[in-house]
Amino acid sequence: MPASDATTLLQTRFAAPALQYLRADDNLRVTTYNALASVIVTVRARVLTADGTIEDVNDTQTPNTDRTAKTSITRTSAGWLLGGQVFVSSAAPLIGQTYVVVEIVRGESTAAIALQVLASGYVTSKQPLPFPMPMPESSLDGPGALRSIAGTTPAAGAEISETVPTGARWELLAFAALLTTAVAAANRIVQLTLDDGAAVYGRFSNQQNQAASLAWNYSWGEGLPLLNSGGLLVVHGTLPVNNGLGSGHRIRTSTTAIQAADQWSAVQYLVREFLEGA
Amino acid sequence: MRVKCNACGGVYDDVLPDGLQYFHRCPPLSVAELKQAISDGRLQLPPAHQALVDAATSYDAANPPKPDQAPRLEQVLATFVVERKGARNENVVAPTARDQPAAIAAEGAGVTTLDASATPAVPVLRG
Repeated sequence: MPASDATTLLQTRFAAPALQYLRADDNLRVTTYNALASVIVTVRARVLTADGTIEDVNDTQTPNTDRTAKTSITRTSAGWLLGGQVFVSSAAPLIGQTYVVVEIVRGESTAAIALQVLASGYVTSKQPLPFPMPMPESSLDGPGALRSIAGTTPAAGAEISETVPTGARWELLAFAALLTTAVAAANRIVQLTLDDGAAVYGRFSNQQNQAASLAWNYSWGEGLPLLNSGGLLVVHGTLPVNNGLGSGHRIRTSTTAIQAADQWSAVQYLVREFLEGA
Repeated sequence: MRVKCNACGGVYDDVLPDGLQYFHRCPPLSVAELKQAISDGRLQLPPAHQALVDAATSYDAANPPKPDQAPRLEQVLATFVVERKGARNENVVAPTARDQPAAIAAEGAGVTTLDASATPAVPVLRG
């Protein structure tokens, strides 16, 4: 719509019907960061054109599943953006698994110029993201997604190593694994270590000697005391409260005197996951 | 799909029950693997690490550990982070531009697909 039409419409009314006026070359851009398979997000909006018509906008996008950004541009008519929403129309991600940013951009190519953020936040099939929203949410806001993860079972004589995926941030709430020691005599002492992908920044020892031919369950948790419950063969260790692990950081065991036939197994851990995007 | 890493022998599912992809990265060498690699001559430690190993070895010779103590050498080796040859890292490299395809960090020695019903290594007491 030519600028004169908008001016004319404004002159015949008390106020603009919405704060966001879209030029003919302005469009909506939806950027998603997602971790779950089979998710489809739908964007819908209403635009009031100069002739008084309300036009519907309706588009979908299939986000990537590796937490990398996926963008799509939805063409809109010139007029006032009355409002809209983004919602999940396929699959059932949790809060913390599908993060959406909605912007007004000028142009419709990958080089479109971002002009204004209309909304950002997590979406689910039950919780749409309305726009425009007064206070966009960071992907690190909110409760995150609770995930119970089965890790890699290492080969005999090897250690456990779990990595925070690219584009994610974790809080490690609990970590459990079973160490079955071989017949070779030695006292194994287990540490859980945290590193940034190379350099270790935290070591959390259970301070117990595990002798040969035993199967002990090791369990670390935020706020847990150090404890060896003897007959139950359970060893507790503690983790820092409100810890944060960035992309590429690792959670590893480091077992002093581990023998070639010792076996770590049953690796299971609980994290609170946020998307940082990549 | 359950797979076995050809570099480290780890067994894992590439998609977890919650529907999210699992990104495997090989662990660094364990103390047992480090000792084996050093004794086989497959691993040359940096001079600073070698000095620590030499000192720990001398200490253990002069002060034999008690039955409930771990040798000093074991304790020193447990602090080393040495990545294995052919290590696999399935985590994606963040694309430098919007909407570029993401590649995995390192293919390494690849993986072998296991039977879907195959279970990870079952711990068995050896003795």
